[in-house]
Amino acid sequence: MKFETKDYNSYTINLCNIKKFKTIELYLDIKTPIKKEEITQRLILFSVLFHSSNSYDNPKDLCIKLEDLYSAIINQNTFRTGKHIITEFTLSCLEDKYTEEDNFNKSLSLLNDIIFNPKINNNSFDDKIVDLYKERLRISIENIKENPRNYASTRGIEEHDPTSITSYRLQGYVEDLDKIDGKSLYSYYKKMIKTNLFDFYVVGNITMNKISSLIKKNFDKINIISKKNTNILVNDKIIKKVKTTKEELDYEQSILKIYYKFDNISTKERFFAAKIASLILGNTPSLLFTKVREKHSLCYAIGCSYSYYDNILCISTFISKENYDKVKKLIKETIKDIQKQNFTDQILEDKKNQVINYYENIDMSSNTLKNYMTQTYTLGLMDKEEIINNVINTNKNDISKVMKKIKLESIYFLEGVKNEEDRIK
Amino acid sequence: MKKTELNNLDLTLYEETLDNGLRVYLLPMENVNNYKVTYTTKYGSVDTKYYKHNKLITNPSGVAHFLEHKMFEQESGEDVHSHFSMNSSYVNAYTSYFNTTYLCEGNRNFKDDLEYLISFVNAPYFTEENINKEQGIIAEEIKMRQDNFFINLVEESRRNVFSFSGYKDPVAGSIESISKITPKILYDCYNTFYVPNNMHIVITGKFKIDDAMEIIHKKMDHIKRSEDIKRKEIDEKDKVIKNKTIIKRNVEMNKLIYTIKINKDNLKKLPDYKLDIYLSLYLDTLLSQTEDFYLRNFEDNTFKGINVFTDDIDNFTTLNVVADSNKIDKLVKEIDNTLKLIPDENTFNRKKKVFVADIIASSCDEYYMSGVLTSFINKYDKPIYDIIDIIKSLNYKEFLSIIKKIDLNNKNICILEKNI
Repeated sequence: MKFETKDYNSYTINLCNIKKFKTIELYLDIKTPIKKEEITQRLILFSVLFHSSNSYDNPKDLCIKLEDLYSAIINQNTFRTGKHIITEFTLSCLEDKYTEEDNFNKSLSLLNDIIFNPKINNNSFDDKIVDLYKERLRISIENIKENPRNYASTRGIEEHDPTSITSYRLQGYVEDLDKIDGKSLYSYYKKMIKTNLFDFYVVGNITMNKISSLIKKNFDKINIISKKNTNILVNDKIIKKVKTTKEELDYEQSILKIYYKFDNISTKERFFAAKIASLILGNTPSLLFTKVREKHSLCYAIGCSYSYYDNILCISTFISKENYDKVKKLIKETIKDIQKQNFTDQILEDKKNQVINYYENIDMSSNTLKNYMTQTYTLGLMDKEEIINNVINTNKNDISKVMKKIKLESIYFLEGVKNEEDRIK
Repeated sequence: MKKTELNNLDLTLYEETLDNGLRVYLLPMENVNNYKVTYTTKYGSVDTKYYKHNKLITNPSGVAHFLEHKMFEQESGEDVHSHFSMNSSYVNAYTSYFNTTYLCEGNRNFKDDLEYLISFVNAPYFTEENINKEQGIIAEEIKMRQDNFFINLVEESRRNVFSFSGYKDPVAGSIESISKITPKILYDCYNTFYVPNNMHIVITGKFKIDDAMEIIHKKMDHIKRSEDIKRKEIDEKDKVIKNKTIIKRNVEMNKLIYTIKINKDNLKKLPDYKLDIYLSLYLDTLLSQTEDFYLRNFEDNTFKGINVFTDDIDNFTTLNVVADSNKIDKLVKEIDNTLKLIPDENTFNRKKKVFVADIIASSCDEYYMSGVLTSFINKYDKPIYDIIDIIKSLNYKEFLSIIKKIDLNNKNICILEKNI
C-alpha cells in the first residue's frame, strides 16, 4: 500500500496504490463553501446531469452501458462536511485483467460524460427533465415525516441553532424549487464547474502515471482558477439558554435527541478527547447502553455521535413517551459520571484501541482509505502514526477535562402519539 | 478435512463435521484484514411447535428471537459486548424464520474471539428477573419496527400470502406473545435446538485453520450429539390467502407490495439454488432499471422509489415489487402487463454477466463471503462450490420454460393507503 498525491492546480489526484482489491474505486469530490440558497438547485443539477448526456439518452441507456462495462457502478451523493458542501461521485469498476482491455478507461469516459458532456439547448437544460426532478424532490421533501428517525434528525438539528450552517437541510427546500428552470440551472452549472474544487481519490492496483494520464485524457474540461480553502471547521458560538422543542407525530415510539457543544475546545481536543469521550458515552458497549438499556430497560437503541467538523455532540434514543423525564435524567447523570472520571480504565482502553485499530486497518475498505486520504491529504490533518500516538497518550484526565467543557444546548423530543384505533393489531 | 477449490474465485474451502454432528466451514483468505465467525443454529421463529418425548410442545411466537437476546446474559455477570470490545471486535446476533446466528468480527485476537463466541452461546442463563428486564427492551424494539412502513408492508403482505402461522407472525413476536415467555420455555428450546448436530460454524478471512480447529475441538468435543429434532411439519398451501388488501396508515405517499407466490416443487426439477437464480433473473430482466418498464414509469412519475426482490422461504419463493406511489392502480396494471412479457435473450445474457462480475468483485471481501457461505448453508444445507460456473451455465431456453410455469394470478397486492 502506497499513498501519493499530485496537485495539478485545477484538480488534485490522491492515490492509494494497493493490490488487495479486484476493483478500482475512483471518487471525485466536487466541493464549495455551502450556501443555503444553492442546496436545492445543486441537488436538482446533479440528478439532471445523471439523467442524460450527449453520449446517452436516459437513465436506462446509462444503466445498460454500465452493465456492459462488467457491472461498473457510478453513484453520486451530496453531503456537508464542515463549511463545505460536497458532491461525491463514485466509480467502481473491475480491473481490466478480470474484464477486457480498456474497460476502466471507458468507465472513466462515461463518468466524464455525466459531468462534463451535458445535453444543452439554447443555454438551457431540458425543462421537461428539470421538472421531473423538481417534482421528485418535492415529493421527497414532503414525505420526510414517513421516516421518524430521519425526521427527528433533521428537525432536531434545525431547531438546535437555526442560524448555523449545521441547520441546513441537505434534502433541499420546497420554496426554492419554484425558482429553478432549465436556464437558471444551466447558469448554476457553469458557475459550478468554474468555481468548485475537484479532488480525485483513487484506490486500486494502478500507478500514479497511469491514472494521471487517464484522468487528464478523460476529464479535459476541468478548468478552475480558484484558490483552495482548507479551513472548514465550524466554530459556532455557545448557545446560552437551553432550548427545548417538542413535536407530536402519529407514531408508536418517541425519539429523544440531546445536543451539546464543547466550549473553548482546541482542534486537538476535537479530534481526540471529545471523540473518545463520545465513544465511551454511546458506542455499544457504552455507559449509556449499560445504564439506560441494560440497567433500566428503557430503550432498545441508544447512541452518541460527535462531529469533529461541527463540534456538536448528539445523544439519540428511541423510547416510550412516558419515560422522557427518566431517560433525560439518566443521560444527565451519565454526563456527570464521565466528568467525574466515574468510568473504568478498561472502557477507556477499549475505546482507544478501537480508534487505533481503525487506523491500523485503514486498508480495510476503499471507503476507509478514501476518508483517510481526505483527512490527511486534502484537509492537512495528521497522518496515521501521529494520530495513533495521540490516541495512546489520551488519558482519563483529558477525557474529564474536555467533558467539563461540554454545554447542553438543546433538547428535541419527537413525541409518538399513536391513535388507539390506528394501532397495529 | 475436506478441501474444495472454489472455481474462479481463487479460494479454498475446508470442511469438517465433528463426531457430535457440528459442521465447520473454513474459508481462509489472503490480503484481508479481518476474520468473521458465524455460529448458527437451525432454529428460528417458525419453530414454535416441536415434539419432546413424542409430546407436541407449542410455544408463543417470538421465543427464538427472545432467546437470542438472552444468550448475551452471562451467569458471571460479564458483559458479552465488553469482552469483544477488549479485542476491538464486534459481536452481534440475528434471528430469522429458520435460523439464529451469532457473529463476531475482528482482527486482533482470533482465538479469544472464537472461543468466547462459542462459550457464551453454549452457556444459557435464564431467570425470571432477567426475562422481565428483557421484555421492556424487546417491547421497544417491536415498537421501533412498527414505526417502519416498509416492515409494516412486508408483514401485512405475509399475513395475506401465507397460510402457516409461523410465516405470518413477525420474527420478534408481539408484546403480548413475549409476555408469556418463562425460563422453562427458554431452557427447553435451548436444550432442544442448541445442540451440535443442529448447528454450524462458518469462518472467513484472516485466520489459521489449525487455530480454528484447536479451539473448536476444545470447546465442542465434549458435547454429545443429541437425538434428532422432530418438528411439526409445515403445511403451507400453494394459493395466496387473499388477492388484495388495503390498510389505512399515516403515510404521506401510498405504498405497494405486489407479491407472486410460487411453490417451487411445481416448477422444473432443478437444484433449488439454480431455480432461485432463474427466478431472480426473471424480475431483473423485466423490471430493473435497464428495462422499458422502469424508464416509462420513472419519467411518468408513476412511482417515487421502486425495489424488486425474491424471498425464498423453504420450498416457496415469492417475487416482490415494493414501491412508493400515488398512482398505484396504474402501477399494478403496468406490473401485470410487464410480467407477461418474454424477457429478451440479450438482456438475459447481460444480466448473467453482471451476476458473475458482481461476485468476482465482492469475492475479496471477507464479510461478503461470510454472508454468502452462511446463507447458502442455511438455505441449501450445503455450500455452493461452483457458483460462477452455475451462473455461466444458465440457459435462455430453460429460463423461458421455467417462467412460463409461473402462475401470475397467484398474487397478493397489499397497499398502505394514506389516512384522510
